[in-house]
Amino acid sequence: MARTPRKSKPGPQARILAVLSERRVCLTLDELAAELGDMPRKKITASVCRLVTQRYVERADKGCYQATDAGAEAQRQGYRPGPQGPLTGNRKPVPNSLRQRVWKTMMMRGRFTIPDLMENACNGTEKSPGSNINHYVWALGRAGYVRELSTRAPGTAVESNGYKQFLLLKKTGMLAPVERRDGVFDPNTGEEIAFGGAA
Amino acid sequence: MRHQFLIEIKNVSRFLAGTQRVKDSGAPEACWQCCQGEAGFGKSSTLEWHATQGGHVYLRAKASWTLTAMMRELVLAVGHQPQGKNNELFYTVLSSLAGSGRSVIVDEVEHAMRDIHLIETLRDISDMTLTPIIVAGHSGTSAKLKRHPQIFSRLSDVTDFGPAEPADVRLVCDRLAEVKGGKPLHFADDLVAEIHRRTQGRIRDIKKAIANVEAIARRSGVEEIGLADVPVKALTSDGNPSELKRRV
Repeated sequence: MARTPRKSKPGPQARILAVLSERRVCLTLDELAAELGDMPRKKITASVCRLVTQRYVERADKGCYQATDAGAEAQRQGYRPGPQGPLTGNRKPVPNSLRQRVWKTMMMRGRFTIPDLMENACNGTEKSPGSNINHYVWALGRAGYVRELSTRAPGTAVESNGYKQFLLLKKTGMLAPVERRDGVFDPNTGEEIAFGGAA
Repeated sequence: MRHQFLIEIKNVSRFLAGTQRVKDSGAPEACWQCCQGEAGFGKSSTLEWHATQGGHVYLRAKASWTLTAMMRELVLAVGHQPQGKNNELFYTVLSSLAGSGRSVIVDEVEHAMRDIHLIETLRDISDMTLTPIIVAGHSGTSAKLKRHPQIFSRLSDVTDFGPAEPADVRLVCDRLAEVKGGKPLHFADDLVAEIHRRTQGRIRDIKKAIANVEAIARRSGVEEIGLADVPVKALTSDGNPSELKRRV
């Protein structure tokens, strides 16, 4: 897909790619430094590394770099550094997040209420933990991880119907399943379970 | 009622001081801690809170535990999928715990003491990785451990979970009770003393009593409440808010 050429001042990567695409020969870092003039040597090294990672520049020989065909094409279409496509990998679990602590509490207790989770998992830094936990338990319920029990725990308010009790059905591992738009991703098994799908 | 864990309660402070003593113990392999006390004094909730907030490994021993069952639960709790024989499970646990700074907490440890292999496996893990082991059970757990000198000599601390003191009851009342709009509910001294007397310092029962008193206060729309405003039944563990609605 053609990318919109940038209008602001080109950055170090764009400048290096411009030089290499124009010359289409292998240039050493010294030659690049001489060509670019004011750019610090460290910045040149780091930028060339990034261009190599993006496969726009290749190392033709030891310490000598040249633009690839893809690099020349990118330069023609208006090279723009930054992410080259959507991030499609799975997010690395955050070790001490609220949801991780909530999941751990569920794993330990098996049967629980939302207040149980709040008491055990919150550390006082969360903004609205009750709503967050409710949403998470609801998502896990729709993905078949949690089932609501028919009996309720006694509530505290005058007209309270009591607290809903839940049972954790799947103990897949210690990493908290991640809620997604239309399902839950379980980092323990690597599976994505759609809402309302097979439990 | 607010739902939060109170670390200022004496039992919890003593437990945390004990974990610190275990960390500071002179002999590195003496890294066992024993928590004991009757039911309702907050042992399990304290251990669960400690495990959740500190990222420690928590296991609840079961009456049906065999060595394999324990090792499989332990492997799952350290974050791996249990696969292979006991020996492989053991080395999975070792590799996961070594240098991680995590403790292993075993609640209801009486179940694990029926088979010496279970306790000895925990000892192997703590000796090889210097992982602190926290075991908890009913009163007399440390006396039972005394039968195994190789374990008892590794105990750096024994924490007794006892009845809450009047100051603890006051703290729980002040911090957890609330009325409409999240305003705090003030308990008169006579009411706090009566809650302490009737619940015999059991945190579980104190919370039930507070919930009942809170229901009465919400019904009457008051922000201060004393013993004269509360029927006696509200202070016992079987006080039921739905029943109290009719009494007020």
